[in-house]
Amino acid sequence: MSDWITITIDGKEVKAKQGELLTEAAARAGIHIPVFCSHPKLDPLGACRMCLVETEGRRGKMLVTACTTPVNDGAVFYYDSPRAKDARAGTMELILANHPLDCPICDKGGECDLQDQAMEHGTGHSHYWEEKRHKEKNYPLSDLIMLDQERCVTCWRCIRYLEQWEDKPQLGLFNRGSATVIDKFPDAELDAYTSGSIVDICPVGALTNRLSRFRYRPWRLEHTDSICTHCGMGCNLRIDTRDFRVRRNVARTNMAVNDEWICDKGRFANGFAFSEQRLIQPLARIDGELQPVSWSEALDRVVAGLKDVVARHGAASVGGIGSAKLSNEANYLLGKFMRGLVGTNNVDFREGSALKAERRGIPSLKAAREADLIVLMGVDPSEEMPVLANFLKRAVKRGGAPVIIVHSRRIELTKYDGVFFNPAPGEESPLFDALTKASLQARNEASPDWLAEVEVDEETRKAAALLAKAEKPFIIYGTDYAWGYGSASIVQALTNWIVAAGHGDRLGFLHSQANAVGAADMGLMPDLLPGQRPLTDAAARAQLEALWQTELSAQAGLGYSGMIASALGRIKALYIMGADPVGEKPGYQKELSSLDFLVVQDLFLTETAKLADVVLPAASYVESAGTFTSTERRVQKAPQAAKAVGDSLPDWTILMHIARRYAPEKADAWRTPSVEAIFAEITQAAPQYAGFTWENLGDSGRQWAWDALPAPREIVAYQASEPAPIDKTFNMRLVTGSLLWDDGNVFAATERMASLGRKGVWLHPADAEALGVFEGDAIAVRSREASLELPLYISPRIRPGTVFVPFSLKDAPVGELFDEYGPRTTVAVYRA
Amino acid sequence: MSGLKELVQGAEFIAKSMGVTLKTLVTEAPNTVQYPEEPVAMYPRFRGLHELRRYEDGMERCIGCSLCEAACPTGAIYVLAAENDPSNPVSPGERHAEVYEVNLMRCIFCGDCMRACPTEAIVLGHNFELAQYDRVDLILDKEALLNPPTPNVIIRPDA
Amino acid sequence: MITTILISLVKSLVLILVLLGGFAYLTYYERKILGRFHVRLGPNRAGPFGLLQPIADAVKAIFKEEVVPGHIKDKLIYLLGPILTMITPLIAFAVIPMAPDLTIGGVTIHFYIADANIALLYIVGVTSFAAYGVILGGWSSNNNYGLLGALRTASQMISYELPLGILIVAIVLSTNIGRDQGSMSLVEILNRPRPWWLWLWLLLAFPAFYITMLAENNRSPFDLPETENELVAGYQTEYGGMKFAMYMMGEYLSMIASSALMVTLFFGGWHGPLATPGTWYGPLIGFGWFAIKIIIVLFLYLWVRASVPRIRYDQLLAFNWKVLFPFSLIYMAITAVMVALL
Repeated sequence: MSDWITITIDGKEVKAKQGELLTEAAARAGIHIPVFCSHPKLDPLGACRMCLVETEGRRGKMLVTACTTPVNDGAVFYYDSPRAKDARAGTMELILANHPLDCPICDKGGECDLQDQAMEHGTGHSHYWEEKRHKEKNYPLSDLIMLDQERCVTCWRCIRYLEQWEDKPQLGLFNRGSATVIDKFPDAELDAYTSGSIVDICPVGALTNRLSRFRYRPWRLEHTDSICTHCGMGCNLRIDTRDFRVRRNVARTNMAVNDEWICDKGRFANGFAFSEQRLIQPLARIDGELQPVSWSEALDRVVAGLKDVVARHGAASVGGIGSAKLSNEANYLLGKFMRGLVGTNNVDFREGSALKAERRGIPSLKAAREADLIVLMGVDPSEEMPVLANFLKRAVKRGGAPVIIVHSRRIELTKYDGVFFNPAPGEESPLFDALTKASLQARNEASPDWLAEVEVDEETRKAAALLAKAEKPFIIYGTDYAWGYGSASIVQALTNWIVAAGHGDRLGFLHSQANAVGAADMGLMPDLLPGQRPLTDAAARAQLEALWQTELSAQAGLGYSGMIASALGRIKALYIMGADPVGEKPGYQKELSSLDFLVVQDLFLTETAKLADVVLPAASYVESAGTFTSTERRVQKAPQAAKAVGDSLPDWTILMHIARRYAPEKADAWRTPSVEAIFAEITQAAPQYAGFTWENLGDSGRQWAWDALPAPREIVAYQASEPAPIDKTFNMRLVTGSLLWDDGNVFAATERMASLGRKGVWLHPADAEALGVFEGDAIAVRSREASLELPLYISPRIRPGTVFVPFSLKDAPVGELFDEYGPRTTVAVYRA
Repeated sequence: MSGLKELVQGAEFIAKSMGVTLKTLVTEAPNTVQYPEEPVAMYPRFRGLHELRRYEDGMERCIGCSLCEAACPTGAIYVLAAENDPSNPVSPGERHAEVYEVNLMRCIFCGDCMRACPTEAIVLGHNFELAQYDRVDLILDKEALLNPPTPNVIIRPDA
Repeated sequence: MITTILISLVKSLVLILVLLGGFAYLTYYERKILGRFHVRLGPNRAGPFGLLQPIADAVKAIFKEEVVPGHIKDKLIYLLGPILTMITPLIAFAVIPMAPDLTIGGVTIHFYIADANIALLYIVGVTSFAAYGVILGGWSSNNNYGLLGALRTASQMISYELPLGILIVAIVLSTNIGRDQGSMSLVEILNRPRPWWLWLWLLLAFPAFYITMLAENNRSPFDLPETENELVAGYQTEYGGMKFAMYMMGEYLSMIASSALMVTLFFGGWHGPLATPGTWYGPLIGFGWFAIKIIIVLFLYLWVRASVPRIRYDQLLAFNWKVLFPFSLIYMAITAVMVALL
């Protein structure tokens, strides 16, 4: 506490920290100095002059801007003096001189800093009677943001945000004096993925949300503190509703997670909850057609269908597929139902056993902001987690952290200093072996024999040196390397490298789904029980048998793709909750239609649901309560914010009903009345969650410990997978990956956002030239399995010899192309 | 003696009052207005049924700002605004009311909405014939507010 | 004998029907006249000039659901209340002559049901029963308002019966003047010629008599049994539909009966120009005079209602005991002296 100093404001002594800004020191003392340009998360500027206070300097009393003035011990300020008040009133009058009287039609009206401060600091009259200056009104900056230049008070907050956080200067000030306007640079787009944040920080109504434009007035909104479930970051949101419907999402501050920023997907893509496409009543297949039925009938049909299959083929012929997009409670109950009542261990989710990933996620998001070295392997934060990308950019620009990137595309973060490796699919393992050897050499440790042949070049040595020097590196890998054919060897190789560099306990996996960690925590994997305990752990089974009052089998079940593939064989019934295998790979239609009984529980009538015998309408996370465990193991709650559409019910309620009907004699164990109570049961079932309660999760959630599960310590020899063969026909390697603007079910339901992003196949200019195709041409991508037709985009970010097809494109699911080499196959590319 | 005096006085008062009533009976014609057949006289500032007004060119005055909703002490007004289609605008400017509802079961006819309105779009007219057979008909939608019935009244000079 | 009984039966039936019709249109008359006192029109929607209004009211009352509240213990007494109240004025009418006799073919038809020699005593006795109707109704209602209202009514009616009775005694005494014996028969009283000063002397008693009648009939300003602001509706609180209508009928029929009595005692009953007994048109015109006189007296009731506000309960009793009672005693005493001297 040695750095506390004393300053005087209006004759009152105030404790302050040495060097902090006067606005902050005054705010702690309860004096709220009005500001427009100053923002605690942006560098001080002093543009608006609203914060003028008097200070005693060497040349007597003078006016200074409080937002740019650091305090020193003994400094004397006057906030309430006549001259300071007069100066602020004058500033306000000048700001208002050209500010239009738009308040009745302005979305900011009611939560506007200018309104509040004009009431408090303005004089109520103006010396100006001339006509106000006219500028561009309702000028769309992008598909998401509307600009009104007349309302702008030129505080620069938006400009500074894009420069200081996004590192994408896409807005600027033009002209001089009262003609100054904010605008895009010529021929440039405002396409930063967190551009919506400038709406939040705009102190007036100059920048407004185009999607929720005019759909709310701030004073009539109900606020629900919730989280975003579009990705695994778990950004904190405030969902604003009226008439029980979502009107807008705004960021909520959680310094441990998202600071006060959210990405545009989280902010704007909220249309899924109230889409016209939503299922509003249960459907059942009667006479070969899906027809609306009552809940009671639908549930009876589900129970009868499952019981019939169990009776004829045994419990092992039933499988349950959950989802990493759904809450812990829903996934927990599905696992409990399948294991406890049906008696099968066939439970999984798409990102479950198929993903060879660190199940603990990443050490923490805070570690990303404090990193002195950033290592990204097969992950592109800019597209997968834009807010994390901003933190990394900040760490690079402010913390001077170099970046080591291993990726099959030249991702955005490669623009920073560091090392970039660009291995083609199938070449990753040798690269990581080289890095392992280099790191061992850098630490003067002996290489195992199986690395003897590997050659180390200059770049690998440089990367190894950087990693050896780093004290708190942020090391993550992503889905690109952990999923599909060959992922086991790649993950082993990259783990070896990080272990060799001595940072094994810092290696994290960036889960891209909101609850991928949570679903594993809930034991929704064929070989894991709740708490991520192995199925073979007899003590864990005994504990759960006591808790669930049932008996558990120790025989490992089938995983996600195993269950679907076995639908032609021993699997006869599937219960699919929040997953769409057919939408992802239309070829699965064959397997799923051969099932005896298929239940799909989802928001929409997905391609999979169209094959189902019973379709149960579920409520989205906005309409039901639940907890989600983010990629940094942070358990956060998402309370109910809106009323469920139609007859849809929360996932957990549906499962409760089914369980009670399935086993009336055990119904007592399934009478848990609320999400809070289910969560309480989860804290008993999963040891990491012990001590958590719905209440003590609080506003910012709670993390379970990074060291609750073991980290890799050994370098392990492994058998590298053979890359897919290149031949004369199939001469290009396929690269897949996620883009922020895709056509996923949940995202595409926000119709206004459907046009965003560039959805097509991507080629390197050299390859495009060789093929003689141009941007926008229709291109066919053909694998040994199938063919897709998509428009072409040309970008130097693509590795020559590869073709990039993103996931989740409408009518062109890249999964269709996968053969035995999965996403790492080879394809033929030609003009369609 | 005073009791007798009081009695006489009381009788005198009663006689006087009965004289007044009899005089009224004989001399004054009934004031009754044969209401449904004849219009009722209303003061100009009488606050009756709500109306949404238009400009002369047919554009709606309402811009969907919801200030009436905010001013309403009983929560009787519901406004949902929307963007104007520039090629076919409903009101001048960018914004109009997509939904405008007045719940007459809640309204207390205080006129605060009228006072809050920045464009003088919502006004309380002279129509007082509000009875309906169905509760639903007591919720006025925008269609009803824009096309109010002609009230069966004559406006009398403000006193 | 049978003819006499038949004629009496027919007369009773006709009288009851006329009286009930009279009640109905008395309500119309009251509302119309009160309306004009208030500078408005009164009922004017049902039929021309609202003439069908009483019928509409009757239909409404008849079709109301008959409800006996659950807390009423003694249903018989509860039903007896309105019935008694309604019946008493009807039977009081039996002794009132309404027109001169008519002789057709040697059969003389009297326009009264009975010429009882104790007619006045009969009327006083019968009308006292009205108090029972009120008390039984109020008590059986098992309700504070009902009981309080009934008690008020009882004490009001009994108190005002005292001056009423004394005044009637005075009137009966006055029939002795110039004769050997007096009479209580209304027919006798009506048909005896009286000197003009006796008329004047009798008229002197009329205001007092009228006031006691107002009180007996619970009319404004003495309508304390049903003071809405204190007692909801007094003894009628628990009554609805036809039972309530019967209480109303009782009240209005009492008004008609009282008016008829007053007309008979003070204004010469059916007597009037052209109402000559023995002619064929005499009874018609006599009845006309009788009706017109009743309507005028009824107008008085309405006029008072439109002019005088309801008085306080203590004022009601004080007025009776301190003014009316002494007045009637003095009046009777003077009449007695007159009878003795003349």
